[in-house]
Amino acid sequence: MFENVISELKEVVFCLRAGQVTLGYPFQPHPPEPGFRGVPRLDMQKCIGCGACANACAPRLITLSDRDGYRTVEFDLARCTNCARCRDVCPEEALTMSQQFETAAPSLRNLRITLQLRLVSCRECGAVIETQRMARKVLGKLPEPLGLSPQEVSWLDLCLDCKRTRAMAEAVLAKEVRS
Amino acid sequence: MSSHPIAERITRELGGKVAIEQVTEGIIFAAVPRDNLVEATQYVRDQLGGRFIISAGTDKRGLSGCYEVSDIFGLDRDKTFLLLRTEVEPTDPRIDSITPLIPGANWSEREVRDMIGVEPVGHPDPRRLVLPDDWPQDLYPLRKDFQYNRRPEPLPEAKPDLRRPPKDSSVLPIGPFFPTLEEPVFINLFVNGEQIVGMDYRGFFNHRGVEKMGEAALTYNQVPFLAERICGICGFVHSTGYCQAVEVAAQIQVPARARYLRSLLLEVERIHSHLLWVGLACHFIGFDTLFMQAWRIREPLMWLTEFITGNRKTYGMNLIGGVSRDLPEGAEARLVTVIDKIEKEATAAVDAILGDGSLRARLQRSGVLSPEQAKAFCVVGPTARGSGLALDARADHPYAAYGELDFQVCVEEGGDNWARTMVRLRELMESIKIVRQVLARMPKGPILAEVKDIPPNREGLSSVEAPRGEVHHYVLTGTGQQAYRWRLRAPSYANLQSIPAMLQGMTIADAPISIGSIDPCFSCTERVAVIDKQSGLTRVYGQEELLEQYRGRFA
Repeated sequence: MFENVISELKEVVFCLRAGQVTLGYPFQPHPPEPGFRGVPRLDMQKCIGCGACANACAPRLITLSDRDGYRTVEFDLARCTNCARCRDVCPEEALTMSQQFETAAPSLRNLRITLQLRLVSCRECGAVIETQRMARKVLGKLPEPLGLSPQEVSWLDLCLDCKRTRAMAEAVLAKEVRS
Repeated sequence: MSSHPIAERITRELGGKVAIEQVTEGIIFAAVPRDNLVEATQYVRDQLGGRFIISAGTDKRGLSGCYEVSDIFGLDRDKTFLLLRTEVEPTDPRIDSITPLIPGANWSEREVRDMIGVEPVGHPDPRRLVLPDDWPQDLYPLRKDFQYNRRPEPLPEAKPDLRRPPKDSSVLPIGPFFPTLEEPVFINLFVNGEQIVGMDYRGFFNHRGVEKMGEAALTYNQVPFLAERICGICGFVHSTGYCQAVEVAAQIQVPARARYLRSLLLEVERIHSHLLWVGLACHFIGFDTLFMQAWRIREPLMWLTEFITGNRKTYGMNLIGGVSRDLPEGAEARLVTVIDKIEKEATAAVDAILGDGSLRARLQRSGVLSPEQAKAFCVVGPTARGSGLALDARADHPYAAYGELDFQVCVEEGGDNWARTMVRLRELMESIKIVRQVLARMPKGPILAEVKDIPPNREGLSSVEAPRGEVHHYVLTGTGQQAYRWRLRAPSYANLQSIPAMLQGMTIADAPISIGSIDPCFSCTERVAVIDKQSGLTRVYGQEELLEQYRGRFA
């Protein structure tokens, strides 16, 4: 009995010492910790539409679709778990994680990011090769004094299949010329 | 094949009946013909002290032409796992049930039947377990010819196959939605007056087939992000368990710092989970003061986790081969401060409640699980340790950095709700000590191993001690950066099966706290919801439509 009373008194002291701990949120802002990963943001100027993020995304919310000369990159952020895998694998650092954690929106449309990028098609067969930004990226990576002939640079406008066909044809031609 | 004393013993004593296939560090793979399965199981249980963990049923028709049922045992004394593989011909998909020998294999065998279609002959309770009642007969979702997004036509007018109450007793239903259970589960208590004389269980309302997702839709490095969402409280254990199983299978060496980081986060998770449980348990018996205080003590740790991992639930850390990010600057100092405060406050709280007569009266001698019952139902974690079984995956099958850390396995006798409470309170303090050790001993260096292509047809398994008990993951690697089979078992899967024994003879008032005392996690047991991307509609639904929509979400 006596032990019980002591225990209850201790409990009272314990609670009183803690005092009020309830925060004023949402009337007072409660910013998250510095490293917090909120809703991802896409820098539309930087994205080249390579699809590395779509490959890594575990909830598979990033989709790529090619139509009418454009690649549409779409993020359905309603499914996002903010794991930041897309950011970690992006070669262009086009993705960043914001501190935003309040994602309530009047419509699911508000949680969607859509980006359209112009595509480059094969000049022989018309198949999609890559986005224009990726093509420019590749061109920019070629070292200047490589000594590529304009004809060789023009191969960048060919799809893989057509490149193979052409390489084969040229090899055969070269062999015939030699013999 | 490297030699192993137990493997040699099995060959010597059971030669001809069990063939040792492969021995790796800590795992013995053995094959047993179907006719010898029961005998071999009895031998493993009685002679080797094997503790049944889980059965993994695999549709290997595309590989070996058979179904395969692998019973995984923990030979805890010898720090070894034993995988006992039985091949079952597709023309005769039956296997002798081992549930009469090991009651804890009950659900496992029923799940293999539901998902793969291998019938356990002689099973004492062969009712449907995992699949919904309106799922068509003879349709087995984990077979490889079943598309992961297929939606079969539901059977009309299906009802759960519930057991009838014994004579002279009436039925008291708990669930499917009940105030002290945060998740849907249906327990029918059979009562005689105030006394519980039996019960029936129907769960798995949340089953959405993560295993199928991990085998059919996701690549190796996507699965950890699904695995960590299996549990809403202790998710890190699942991503660790899965990653470790793949790492074992592919023989990937995880850098030391990554192992320490995993141990650190696992212990942080245990501390917050145990504090959460203390609060919930008090809430179940109407002691809301401590409910509030326990959660108050816990909160700074959640903020700290948000600082360290970027999310208050340790999300997004584990990858195959290590962890994805290191501790941010200043994390060690903050960890020390927060851990010290929790230790001080938890000590004060425990000191205050230990003399509380009403608390003791509610917890002592209620929900008793004897050591024999605990062993029979193969329970794990604080439920086992509260019944005097010294089981702890951290000590029995060391993983991450636990082999290099000093800690105590907290065991209590008594087997009642009080004992399980004491185990968790002591473990809380033990975890705080482990965190300090990890901080003191953590080496510098890389945190992620370079992972090359993962070869197919390799098996790996791993146990991780979650706050609720041992989590087990089994992975058979496949082609195309995808597992061929991923099997997992959450601790509540084992512990829930002991509830009937725990409640037998108790009063109705003891039921919520007894069920709560195993800290059940139904969604873990049932393995996570996956929501259809296409369902963007919003309107008011009638019952039929709701059912339709609910089923539709399976895609």
